[in-house]
Amino acid sequence: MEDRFFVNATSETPEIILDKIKNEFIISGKSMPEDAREFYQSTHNWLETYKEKPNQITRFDFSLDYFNSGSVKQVFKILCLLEEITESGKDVKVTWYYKKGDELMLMKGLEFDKFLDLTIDVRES
Amino acid sequence: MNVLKIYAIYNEFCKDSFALIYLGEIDDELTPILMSINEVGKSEMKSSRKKISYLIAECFQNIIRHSDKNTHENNSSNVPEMFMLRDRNTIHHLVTTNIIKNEIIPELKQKLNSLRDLSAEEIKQLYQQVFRNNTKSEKGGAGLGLIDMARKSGVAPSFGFKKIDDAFSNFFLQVNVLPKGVEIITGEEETSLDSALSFYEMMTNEKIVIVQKGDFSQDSVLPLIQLFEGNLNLKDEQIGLARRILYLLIEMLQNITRHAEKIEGITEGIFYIAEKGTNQYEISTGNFLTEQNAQRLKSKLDSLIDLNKIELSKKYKETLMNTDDSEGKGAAIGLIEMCRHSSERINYDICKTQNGLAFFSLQVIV
Repeated sequence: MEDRFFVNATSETPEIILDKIKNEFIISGKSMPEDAREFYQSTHNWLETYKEKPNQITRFDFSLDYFNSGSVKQVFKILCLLEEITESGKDVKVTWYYKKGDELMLMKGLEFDKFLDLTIDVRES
Repeated sequence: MNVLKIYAIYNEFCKDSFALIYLGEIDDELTPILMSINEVGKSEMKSSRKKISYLIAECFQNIIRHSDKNTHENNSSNVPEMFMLRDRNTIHHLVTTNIIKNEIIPELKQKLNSLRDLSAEEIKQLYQQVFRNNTKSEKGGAGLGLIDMARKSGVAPSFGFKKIDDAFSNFFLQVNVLPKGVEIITGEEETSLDSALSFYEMMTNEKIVIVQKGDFSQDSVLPLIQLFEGNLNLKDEQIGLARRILYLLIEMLQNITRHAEKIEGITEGIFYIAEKGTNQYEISTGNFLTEQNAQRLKSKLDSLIDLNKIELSKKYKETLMNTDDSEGKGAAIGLIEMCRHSSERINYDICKTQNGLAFFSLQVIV
């Protein structure tokens, strides 16, 4: 596994930084690819491997402006992988940022928190 | 509620390979977005597209420079500006509307009439002459803009005025862009200035903000979403609503992208957004499906539309938790989300069409 996984943002997809050494994990921007499953596949693959030997504490930030429903499902899948890390005794700190007044993104963060055993810190950015 | 409206509108434009009508404020920020909407997904020659883009910019400049909307008391809301672009049989029809003072109508009429009797060659000569002399009228440009529009499009613009009150009128300007070699346009009623006027009236009555008919491949959908990121007439404190509209809009447009039956290789569809009272918007879409797919979508929707919000949340959670991706590209969750985040019951309709397909109309109120 590469220590660092990076995807540049486009007008329809977010920037993704997964950096084990810097302990920096960020997904930010817009996410509305036509095929979200395909777009997030490599991120899932990377995290599957990372999950085997994760950092003591993984800090993962989501800062999405908006997304399509296909991306909702894929983001949830990422959160599920992070949840599995906590089950192995390692710590994961997830922060879900939303813009002031963006009730939809606030709601998404709160729902994910409710649906998972993972604690998600939902914060105004 | 008249769900079929979108089908009726579709039929008005069905002979157009592309149609875009926008009602609202026309400003500098809008120009590049509308241009990119025009430019994507067109198989036309680059030179022809460039010409249209140039004319769009020229028309917008015309509105931005010459509009008297700021001096008109009840400005914008009742009499929005319009931008309309229709492509039909290799001819492009570009129509704009803006408010002007009645007092300038005679002069404007005279200027526009003077172009009417000229041939393409004479327009070209006039352009060069005015360009060289560099004579200017009060608001800049001795009709150079208008002459240039005529020169680029190959025919003099048509125009019309509709009185608003004693001091102001709406000024309609139509530029028809003809393919090279064609000099005279045979008047097609459906694309005449009169039809543009009646569309303007219909759209103003229905409070429609935008209509687009044409290709809904992913590349064409992106600039539309960009347009709505900034242009919903919503104030900062309404960001919550704006984001919800955007979420559903993306969903509905991408639904067309993913599921529409292609017509002659094009992901054919139509959508419009209309204002419904205060802080409420209607998003409607229409596209073709095979009869079988239409029935499949119908039964999916039927299983969802009458659920209450709690039941929908439960469904949402179940779908999210289901790690089996066999449902495809997220369609099921998309429909659940549409029902969850709309403020009224979703409406849909299926019409059988002559081509043996079903026209599926979907209407969501946010």
